[in-house]
Amino acid sequence: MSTIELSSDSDDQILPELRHPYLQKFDRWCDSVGDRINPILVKETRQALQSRQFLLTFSLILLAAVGWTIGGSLSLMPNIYYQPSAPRMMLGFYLVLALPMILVVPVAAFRSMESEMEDGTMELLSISVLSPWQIVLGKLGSALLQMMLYLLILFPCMAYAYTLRGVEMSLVMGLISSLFLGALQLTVLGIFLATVARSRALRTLNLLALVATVFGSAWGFSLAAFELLFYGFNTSAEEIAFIAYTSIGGVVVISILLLTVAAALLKPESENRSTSIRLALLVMTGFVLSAMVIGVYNFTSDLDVPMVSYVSGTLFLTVLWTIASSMIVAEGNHMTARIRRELPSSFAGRLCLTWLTPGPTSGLVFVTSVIWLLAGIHYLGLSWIEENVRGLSMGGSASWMIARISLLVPSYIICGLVLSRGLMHLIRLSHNPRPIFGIAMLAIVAIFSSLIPYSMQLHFNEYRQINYDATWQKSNWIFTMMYADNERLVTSDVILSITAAGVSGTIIAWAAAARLTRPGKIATPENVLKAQKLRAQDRVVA
Amino acid sequence: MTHFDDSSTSPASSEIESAQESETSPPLASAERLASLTTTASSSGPPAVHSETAATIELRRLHRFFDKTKAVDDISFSVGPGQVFGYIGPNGAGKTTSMRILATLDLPTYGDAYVNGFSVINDPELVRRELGFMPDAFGTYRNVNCREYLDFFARAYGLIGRERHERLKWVLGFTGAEGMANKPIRGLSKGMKQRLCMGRALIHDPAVLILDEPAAGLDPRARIQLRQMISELAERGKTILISSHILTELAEICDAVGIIEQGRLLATGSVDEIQAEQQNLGELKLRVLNRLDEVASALQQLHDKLDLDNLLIDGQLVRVGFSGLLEDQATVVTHLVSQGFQVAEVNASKKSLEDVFLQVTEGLVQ
Repeated sequence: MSTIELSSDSDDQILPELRHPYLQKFDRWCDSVGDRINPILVKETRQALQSRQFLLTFSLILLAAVGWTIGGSLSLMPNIYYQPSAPRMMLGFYLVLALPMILVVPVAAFRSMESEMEDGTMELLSISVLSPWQIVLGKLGSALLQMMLYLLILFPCMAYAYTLRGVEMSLVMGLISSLFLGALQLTVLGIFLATVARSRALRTLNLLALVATVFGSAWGFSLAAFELLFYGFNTSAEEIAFIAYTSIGGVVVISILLLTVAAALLKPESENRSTSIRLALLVMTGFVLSAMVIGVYNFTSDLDVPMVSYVSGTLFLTVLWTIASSMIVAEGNHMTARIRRELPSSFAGRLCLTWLTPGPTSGLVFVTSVIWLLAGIHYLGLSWIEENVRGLSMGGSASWMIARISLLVPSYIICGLVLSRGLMHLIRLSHNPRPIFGIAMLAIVAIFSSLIPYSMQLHFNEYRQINYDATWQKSNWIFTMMYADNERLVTSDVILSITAAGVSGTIIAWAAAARLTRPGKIATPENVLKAQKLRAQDRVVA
Repeated sequence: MTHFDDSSTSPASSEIESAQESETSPPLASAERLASLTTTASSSGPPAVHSETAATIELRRLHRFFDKTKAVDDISFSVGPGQVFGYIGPNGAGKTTSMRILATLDLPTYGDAYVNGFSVINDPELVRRELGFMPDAFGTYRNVNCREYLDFFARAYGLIGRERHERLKWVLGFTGAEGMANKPIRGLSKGMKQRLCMGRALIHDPAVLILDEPAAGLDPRARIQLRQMISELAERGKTILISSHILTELAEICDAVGIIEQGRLLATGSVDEIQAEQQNLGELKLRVLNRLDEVASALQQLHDKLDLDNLLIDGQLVRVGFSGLLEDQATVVTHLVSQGFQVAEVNASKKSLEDVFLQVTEGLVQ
């Protein structure tokens, strides 16, 4: 890098002049602290604090808080002196706080990211040395800072409402925490939606979706607050702990996944975007499984909690992995030298980590492994529930039924993914579609695999009503799943043949990936090694 | 049966390989092949290859296709340290696309580009440290002033503490933006915004500058100031790749130029070299007072002998391309006078970069 001689002026001449020495010291301290903070956060905070939107929101909140303090108190007179009056006052302050946090902050975060894209500044950021994670976390940090400011304004008002009696401190903390978590989740969603949309039309659609979501959430939060403040919360401490765990954990893992995807999309195409998303998916899956285990194991005396947590967890994981898998197997299959340089070079390293290597072949290994693992867990979990949860009666053939479902669902998904992978491979010979087209491809495979056999059987039956016929309908996953509990129609042979297809798909996927485990080293240019070494030294010095 | 294989390359990548293996590969590709052959595998740590190159900017068989449109079609050139390279071509020629690839904002369909020896495909983060890019769009923020804007980009390039303040001060001084440091960006004129964007590109003291149409829309004074800035930066050893439509200005500041049209590099070299490559270096302007409809046929008689071209008759003014030699000029005048034409004025000039540009390009847009 060429250098330009810089003047050797003292700091006093460089920094903005402040007359008082203590102010100068403070200013220098702030400046050095600013050097350690994410530059995006510094910029966003500067921008936000100078924006008309913040000024307006801030003023309106202040005005509403003061207005409700006076108006609400007067409306409660004279009962306010001798009756617990906190719920009503608290609800008012809660709404004043909820509206900007739920409505304004997430949309502002979306707009901030969107304007980076539209004004071309995202390109300028992407050629700086800022990492994509710094960009998304900077945006999130700025939103959190705004939330804290709004919370700080309302804090004295809420303290005042608390002194009016009638609301427990735990409830106030719970309301504020849940509001904060909800606003955080919506902000992450806003950042994610702004990042994934590449065209203006899609961004507009995403904005509309976000606005609908935030309004729905604001309505939900307000209603929940009303219920809790006026009618209380009749649940055990165990259940509250479980709800807190799932809420906080859920927000954290969903945020990790959405932010990982957003950061990956901001990376250049030549870089590895896939591995971090796969890891985030595993983190989310681990959390959902843990919530299911806690829900099932800790509440064996009650039927509702185990079943709700189990069924919702299973459905969530099935949908999540079906969508995620379809995109993973639709990834591009060209790896740049840069990505290949970062892969493990030994046989053992490649054998253990191949499923994290970007690309559709390793992707298919990754998703088939996870899907079979989840199917196994599903079988064991449901069998355990059937044996241990009081009040649950699934009949004598329950284990058998669980086993059938645990084999059918993964087998169909894997067969669909293998077909989808093959078709995407053919398309990639002449086009370069984005991985999101994998969802459409899997949907097409799913529709045609049902529609074609159904139409054919219908045709040969001269368009009269048809019954399930395994000869035709093995690939028809809808028909087969509908009669999965009918051993006469969906016989064990049918289950076995569909499972065999799923296992064959898995074997094909694994066999195709075998060559990825071959050890090999990709040369790194000497100047790159030198530059990396220098950067490492610089970091140590810094 | 469909083969699931990560190493099965896309048509693009397979063409890269075939292009690199081809016997018709340019010397640069050979150098790359040589570099890949001199791999030094070590038992510990990743192996290294020697790929020293003197050029600061290097494009090797760069291609960029958007479906069937060949925005950049097999472009190779290099720019040495401290050189100013002018990149000229009509709108839609592929200048911005190739500059965006160099700036790591886009990826080539095949081929590669290098900045200070770092590949834009494989080591973009190292390229970015070496590079300052000024796109044709301003890319400014709302609700920040000029100082805050530059300060943010200084932080974004990892400058901290005293170094950041010093760079900021230097950039404000160099671009003449000191007076507007505390002004909001929204109120700045185009010229001022252009200075600010130049400042942003310079904030991390990059060795290489890529300037995409920096003079577009500027008034003459601002253009002159920009030209002075570029000259000064070149004197300081910066390597500059600049695209512009104002060819007369490019000719003055550029060590070399490349003319691009429809994604293909039509000519490259110094302005003198490109001019010398053209069929005729000079243009002869004659004012003929009589028999104007016969001038063309009279000059046609000399065509075989002098290889005249680009004849243009505009009223009494006759313009014709010729070798530029005084003897040939005299032959033309003598011939016309001997044929009875009244030649009132003779004026010969060397072709400008603009003339060369018009001669080389056809004004085709993809």
